[in-house]
Amino acid sequence: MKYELDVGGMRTLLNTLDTTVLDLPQDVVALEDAVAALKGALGGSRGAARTERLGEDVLGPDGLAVVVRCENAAAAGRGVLDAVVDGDERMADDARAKAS
Amino acid sequence: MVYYPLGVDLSATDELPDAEAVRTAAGTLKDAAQDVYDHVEAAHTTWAGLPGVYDGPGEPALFAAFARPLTDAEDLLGSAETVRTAARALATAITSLKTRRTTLRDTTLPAKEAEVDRATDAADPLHHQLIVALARAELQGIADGIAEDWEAAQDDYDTALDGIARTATDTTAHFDYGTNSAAVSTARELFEAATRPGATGADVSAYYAHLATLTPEQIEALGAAHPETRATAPPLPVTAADLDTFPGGREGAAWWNGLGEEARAALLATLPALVGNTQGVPYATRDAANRTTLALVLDDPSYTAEQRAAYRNIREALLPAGPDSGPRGLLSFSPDGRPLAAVSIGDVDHAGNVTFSVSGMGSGTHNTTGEMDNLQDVYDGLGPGSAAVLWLGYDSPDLPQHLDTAGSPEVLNVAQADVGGTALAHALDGFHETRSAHGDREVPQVNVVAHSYGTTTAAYALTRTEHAVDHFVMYGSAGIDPGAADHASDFNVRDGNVWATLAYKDPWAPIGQVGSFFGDVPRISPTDDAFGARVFSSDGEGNIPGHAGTGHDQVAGSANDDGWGYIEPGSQSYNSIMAILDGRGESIELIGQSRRDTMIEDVTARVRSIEEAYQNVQQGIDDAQLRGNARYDAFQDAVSGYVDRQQDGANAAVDGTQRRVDSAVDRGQDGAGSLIDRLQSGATRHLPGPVSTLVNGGVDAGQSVLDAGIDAGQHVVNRGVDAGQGLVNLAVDGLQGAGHGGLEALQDLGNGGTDALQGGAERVHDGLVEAGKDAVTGTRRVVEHLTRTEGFDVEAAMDRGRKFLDGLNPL
Repeated sequence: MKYELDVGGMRTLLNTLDTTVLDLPQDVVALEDAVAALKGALGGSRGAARTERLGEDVLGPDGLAVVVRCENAAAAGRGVLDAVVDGDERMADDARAKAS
Repeated sequence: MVYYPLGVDLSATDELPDAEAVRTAAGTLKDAAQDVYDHVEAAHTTWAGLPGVYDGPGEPALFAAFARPLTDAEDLLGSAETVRTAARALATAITSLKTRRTTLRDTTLPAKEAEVDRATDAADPLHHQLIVALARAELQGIADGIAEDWEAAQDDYDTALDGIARTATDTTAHFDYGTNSAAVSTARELFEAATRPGATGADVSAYYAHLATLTPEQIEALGAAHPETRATAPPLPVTAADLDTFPGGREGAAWWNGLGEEARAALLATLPALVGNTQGVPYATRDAANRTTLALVLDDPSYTAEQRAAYRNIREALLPAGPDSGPRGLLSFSPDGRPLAAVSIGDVDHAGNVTFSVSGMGSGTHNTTGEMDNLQDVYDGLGPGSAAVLWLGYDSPDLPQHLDTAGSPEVLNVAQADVGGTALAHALDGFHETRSAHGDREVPQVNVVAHSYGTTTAAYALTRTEHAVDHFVMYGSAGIDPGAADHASDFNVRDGNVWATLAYKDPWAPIGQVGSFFGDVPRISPTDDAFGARVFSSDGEGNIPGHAGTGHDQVAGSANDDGWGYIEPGSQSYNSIMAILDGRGESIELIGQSRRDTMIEDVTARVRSIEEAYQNVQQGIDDAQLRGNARYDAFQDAVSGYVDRQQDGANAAVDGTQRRVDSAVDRGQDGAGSLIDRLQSGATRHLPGPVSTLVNGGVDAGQSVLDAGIDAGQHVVNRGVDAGQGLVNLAVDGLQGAGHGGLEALQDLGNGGTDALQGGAERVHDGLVEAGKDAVTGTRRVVEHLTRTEGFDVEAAMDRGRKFLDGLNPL
């Protein structure tokens, strides 16, 4: 077996990571709400519509891309851990390759 | 447009945003991006511990897995910082512009106006105009300068935002985790099934049931990865049968109460359109959720301009009318399609008396502010601890004047009321069950007031509700589908508390009722005594004080004009309706039926008399035809008998002649034969052989000549007889032909006359029908125009109408 893990330490690390990474979608939702609040504050001016487009075309997708990359990394770590515990080296390789 | 001194136009800067609100919101946006960055950085830091617990292949790439998202998060933060900077600059410009505008409006303009007044007091008229024009030009220049700077500030903001581009590239999710977890994917699939056209109650229930199994993080992941789930409301039941299968207040309350606090908070923040439109969820929570949805869709270019205008109108309608006018709430809000909403005044979760108001044709969220102004009057008339709800939860018909342009005859049909009635029943039962489901609340008195086509809609609803309401008040009704309710007792209303009124000067309601005869379902009037509602006057009759109604509107105009609407404070109908909603309806003196209904009955009777006259004409034509046919048949019989007799006589004469000819010929032939026989016999006996042979040969020849002569003679006679017979036949045929020709000509003449008479009668009838249709359409347009015309005397017009109808009586 080419993988050598501190299974307990890795599990602790991943549990800590989950807490952070799985909360990231909430931040993206909040970002979208913040865009909505700004366009609301801009009232009937044309800046409101421009702000909406920025949120929909740029900020929202950028935020979601960040979330997905973080999820891939965290899930890859858990995949490696689970595969190593199961003695499946090929699965561990596969999980590791999808970390980003 | 607001008028300012000297006619200066400041409208371009009428609606400058609140600078402080812009600053605050921009800060919040930056903070949200900061949260993203902070959390990614925290994850990056945690991940940095990996080398201590991992020893395997590909360490550098694995250890660096959080580097890219950290960079992307940093770029996202940079984008948000750019927005904040631009917004702050815009806010600063707004503050400055407002100061300049205020100075112009409150200081410069009045000062200039006073200066002009002083200067022009002693000036001649021409000079006066010049002074005013110069002053106006100067001040308008200042106003235009402010407007131009406002445009420039917005340009700067737009330019700054134009410079922000995507920094992160999209990537594929590889694992069953987070936003890509199976639970989230399933939620997405169930969302699509529940919101597709034709979704069933089972589809909707399945979505709710699955959401209840998600963790708060999964709910947030659903909203983040699939933003369309956030502002999409669950569908409403469409048919009466749907009410049995779609989740109602009871199911919604059980679902909501079964969720943990964190899941509720996640749902409220992430899926506001779902929470805000779920019957059974407390109304204060629904209000908060729907306001979030409203903020999300405001100015979103993926919605149409009409939809966005409606969103803005709803937002404006949520502002309280005054400090003591009661809090407003957005109890339901569906932004898709034709935006639908329910807006309340008062505490709907705790009020002891709640009135739902259902508006009619032309109503909708595009005019939420106007409808809320009307509702405010109702709310103000209710006692303490009451609430009122404006229910704009259905696609109401367009105003009929659109017939001229869009050609909308919607109000003549019941389809929209039928669908809307189901949705209203859902909302009313949902209210009852929401209040029942929460332990600290009791089901209050529930009233439904409905106007115009809203009565048509509410009538369907109140035959489909599970829970009875306490009062149902209809005013200016466009008519009720008798298939839903042909009597007040058909409604699910307690103690027969079904009330109705119709102002004599309301031109639209009767048109809606009568016009429905050209629609899909002829509707009946709830103010007709046969309907069995408690009918009260809007025309000043009875014991309730107040002004008589002057039209169809709920509120006819300002307090200073002569118009009085049904729920306009000061009108008799308003005072009566408030008494009913307050539980004092028993004090109202009722009338048998409205004056309009009596008039409609008169008109109906006259139309029926015209119809009967037409039927009589038709019957007369039929009778005349039958009599004509009988006479024709008798005449034909007589002609045929006469011809037959003449033919028989002629035939008998011909036959007699033939017989006589034949007899004469036979006798002649017999005589000649006998003579010849005797001659031949004598010759044989008395003459020598050769002579006898010669004589007999001569006799035979003579006989042959005689026979030939007889035959020729008979042939001639026979031809003469045949010719005579032919002449007789020709004469008979001619006679018979003449008889038939005469009869057919007579018949044609009769048929032509009958057809002409019948065609004339049908044209008269068709003309009456078309005239009736034209009269309805024309009346609608004319009445609409005239009611807007100052000084128009409805009473005099009605008198003229009565005289016109009297003129039809001879028919």
